[in-house]
Amino acid sequence: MRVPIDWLKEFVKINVPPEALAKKLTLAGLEAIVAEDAKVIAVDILPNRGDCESILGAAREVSAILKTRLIKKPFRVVESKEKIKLTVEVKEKKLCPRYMARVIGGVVVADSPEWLKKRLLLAGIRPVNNIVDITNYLLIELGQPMHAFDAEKISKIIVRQAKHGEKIITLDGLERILDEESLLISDPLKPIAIAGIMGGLDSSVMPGTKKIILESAFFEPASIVKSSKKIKLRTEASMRFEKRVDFDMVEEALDRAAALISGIAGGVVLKGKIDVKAKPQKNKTIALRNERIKNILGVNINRKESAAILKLLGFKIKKETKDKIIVEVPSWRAGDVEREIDLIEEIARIYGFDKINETMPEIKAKTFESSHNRIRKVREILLGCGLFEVQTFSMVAPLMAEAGAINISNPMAQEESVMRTSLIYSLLRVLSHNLRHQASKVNIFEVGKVYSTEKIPDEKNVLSGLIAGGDADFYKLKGMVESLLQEFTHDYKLESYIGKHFHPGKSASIIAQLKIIGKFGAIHPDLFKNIEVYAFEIDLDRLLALNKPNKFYKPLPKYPKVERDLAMFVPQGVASQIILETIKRGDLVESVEIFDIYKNSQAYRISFRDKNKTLTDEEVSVSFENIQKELENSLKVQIRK
Amino acid sequence: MVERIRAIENEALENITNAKSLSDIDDAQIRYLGKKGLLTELMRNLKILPEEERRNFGKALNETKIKIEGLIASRKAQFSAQLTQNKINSEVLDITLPGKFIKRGKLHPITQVMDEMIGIFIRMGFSIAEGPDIETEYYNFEALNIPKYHPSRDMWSTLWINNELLLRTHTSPVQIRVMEKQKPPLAIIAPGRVYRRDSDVTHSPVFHQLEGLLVDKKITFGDLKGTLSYFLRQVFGKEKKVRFRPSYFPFTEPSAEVDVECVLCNGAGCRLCKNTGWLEILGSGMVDPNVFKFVGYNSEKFSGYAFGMGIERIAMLKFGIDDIRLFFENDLRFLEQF
Repeated sequence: MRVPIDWLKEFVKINVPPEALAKKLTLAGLEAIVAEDAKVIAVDILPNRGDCESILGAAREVSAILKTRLIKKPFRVVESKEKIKLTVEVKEKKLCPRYMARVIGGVVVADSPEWLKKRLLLAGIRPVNNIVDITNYLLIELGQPMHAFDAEKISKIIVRQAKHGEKIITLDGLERILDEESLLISDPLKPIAIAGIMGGLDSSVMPGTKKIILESAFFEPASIVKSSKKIKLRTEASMRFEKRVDFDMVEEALDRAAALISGIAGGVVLKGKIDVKAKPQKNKTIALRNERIKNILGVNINRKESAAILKLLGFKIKKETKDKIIVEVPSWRAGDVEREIDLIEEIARIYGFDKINETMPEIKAKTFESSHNRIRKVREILLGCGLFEVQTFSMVAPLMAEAGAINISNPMAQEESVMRTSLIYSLLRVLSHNLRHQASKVNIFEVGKVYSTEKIPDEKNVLSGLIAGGDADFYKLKGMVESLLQEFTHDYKLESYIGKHFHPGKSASIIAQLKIIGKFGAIHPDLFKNIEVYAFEIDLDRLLALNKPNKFYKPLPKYPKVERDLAMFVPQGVASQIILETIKRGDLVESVEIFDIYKNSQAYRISFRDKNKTLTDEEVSVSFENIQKELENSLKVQIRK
Repeated sequence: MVERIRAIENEALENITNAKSLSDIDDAQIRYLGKKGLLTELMRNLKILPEEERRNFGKALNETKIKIEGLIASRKAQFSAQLTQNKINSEVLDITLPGKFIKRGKLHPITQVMDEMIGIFIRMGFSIAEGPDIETEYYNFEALNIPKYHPSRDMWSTLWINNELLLRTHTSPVQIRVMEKQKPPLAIIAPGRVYRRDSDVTHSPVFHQLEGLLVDKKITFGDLKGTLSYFLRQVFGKEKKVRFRPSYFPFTEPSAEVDVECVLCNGAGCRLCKNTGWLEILGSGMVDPNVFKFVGYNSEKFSGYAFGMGIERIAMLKFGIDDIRLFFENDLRFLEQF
């Protein structure tokens, strides 16, 4: 809210410069900055502090913070002899517990005087005409929204629920279609205003209007929230009703408006006023215990000091005993001060958060493990493989998710309207972005959630990555995937994978503990055309659940190994895994690895070792010969000699 | 006889001293000390000498041998040092040629900042708790003391799945989920993704938060201040001032916004801090008794504090990033910088 300083000064004595005042307000919970050559203080009012949305409200805070006096503005309503003749029927007493009105005749609708226009402009409000401007002026000054109707157009005022489909053209010229969620001000024939939000165009004050009905009311906050949401219209008035206006200010504001109008726009205020009240609202009283203040804040603020702070804020001390005080809440704080804790907050913010000492709590809670450390380890391994971590949105375009994926009912954009079911599409988008920006090689991974299509909420942690460009190929990817897997288990199997997203001849699934925990391979060319992409997606929850067996030490070998190399032409269809297994079955074979591949020629390096003695050349040769024979006979490989 | 020894000694010492290479030394070693060397020959003659002579002669011979051996060893060391030196002199690398990198990837900057923060709280004794991204209205709003038709709901622009389900707008629902299952004392942090219907250079529909909750007997606002000041000084630097300012959140009371001295101007006032000298970093407060009521805790017996912060915002301040969208674009030229 924009608070013109001169205006503020009419309500409270200010003994510090604007900058200092802004700082003090900020530290008391009203974030403020000085604007417009120190003519205005712009204050951010917290959502629970509707009572501050006015010059008077700001003045009350300033008075408590600076410990200076509030100034009362005197005014007098001069009434004519003619009595007010207006019938008001409130059908919704719960939603409108107080409805007041005055009638003023003989007004001259014209431009407002300069001083009034200037003030409104400083406060950020556009002047219209003197009548409307005065209601706006008091809205800003006292926080009570009021509305003026052209009295000639209204025979009776009824406050009622709108009917489904009922229409009204509001002041802004738009036709609004209403339903039961909205409260209406109506005459016997048709709606004349949407209660607390905006008046109707037909009954509005125009040049030429002579007699007006001035409305000042209290509408139930929740009702205004509902109504304003429904018709998607928020105004200065509705915003204040939503945050609850001061029940006791309804009358004072009405009288001030009447006095101002007769002063500025001429006219006579008819005798009497309408006041339809459900029942008088009693101010709440709350007990505040000294000990409780200390237990919550950690600081000793004595009874006298807290009582003094509360009094500055307009609370009344009803009773004081040794260990507590009974406090009456002022009408304008009925909305946000209802409990002892609310009073403690008031005391704390005026006492000053900065005066409360910092202490370190002793943390006695038991600690428990989470998957965080294990996920960190996964990330570390992939970084070591040269992959960069990315973070992509959890929402994707419908085309990027499986059928039946969870939809967002109010998405910001089509590309963010469905909860993802796989990370692969998102990674491909990152790949596209980087290729467009001239990257020649993209190696990335993401740890994130995917969202089930069947059950809500069923969220799985998934680990996905891709490599493209540079020396990316299936085997590089396979090496990365397996070095990751082997940190968790050696007990897994790879099988050919045929499924969505992947090239059927270049993909594998990972099976551990009888479950598929992931897949990897070349991305299907239908999915990504210009460049070969190799990707993996692993169910992270399942991966982390694999428990690597305890590490037991094996004694280091005492005798040397002997190595022999074996090159062969391998016929189509013979998997290297079979060759490796065949070689491993050979006598004295400790290990075997492939060290060269060229077309259909493969070279294997075999290590022989006897753990009890040094091997002789002869012993190795016998086994080596046998292995070659076995390979030739059973696998039809052709040994290169 | 002794003269003969002296003559050999003089000759040997001269030869070795004048040797030009290691092989000259080797030659000399063979000539004098080898199996058929001059001194070795004389040594063999010892046997035929009478006892008295043999002793004198043997002694002289031995002394000569030690002298020659000593000189050979020291000359050899000289030559080998020389050789090493020559080798070194001929081997000068251009150390400005590029190294052979084993290219490591990098963690996303958000993960880096998140991990740092998690680490600080874990060391203090907090444990990590988690909750779903897709939440119920109850956990995201109701149980956090945010009733349906309350203006405070406007503090969060929500992405909805249907009437009851939504994408959580903060990590605070995790507080409720944990308190429903566990009794105090309780010390948890909840890192995770949150969602809002907002998008511009400082707002992203997807972003990350870190939530914290401590509940026990006699936890005070002073404890909240102590914990968060310590935390923020760990993150932003020991010399940074921290300020607590009254604020409003439906689930805490009293509530405090926590500011850190501006990272750019150190409090002098600049564009980044809108001339206030302070940057708003996190929201916090004492858990509202209404929240305890929802989870069945006795607020007369227990008190607690809670806090929450946006990771992107902190990362932007730490790294000087001015557009939040960079985090989710994942341009490698961006990611490589962290």
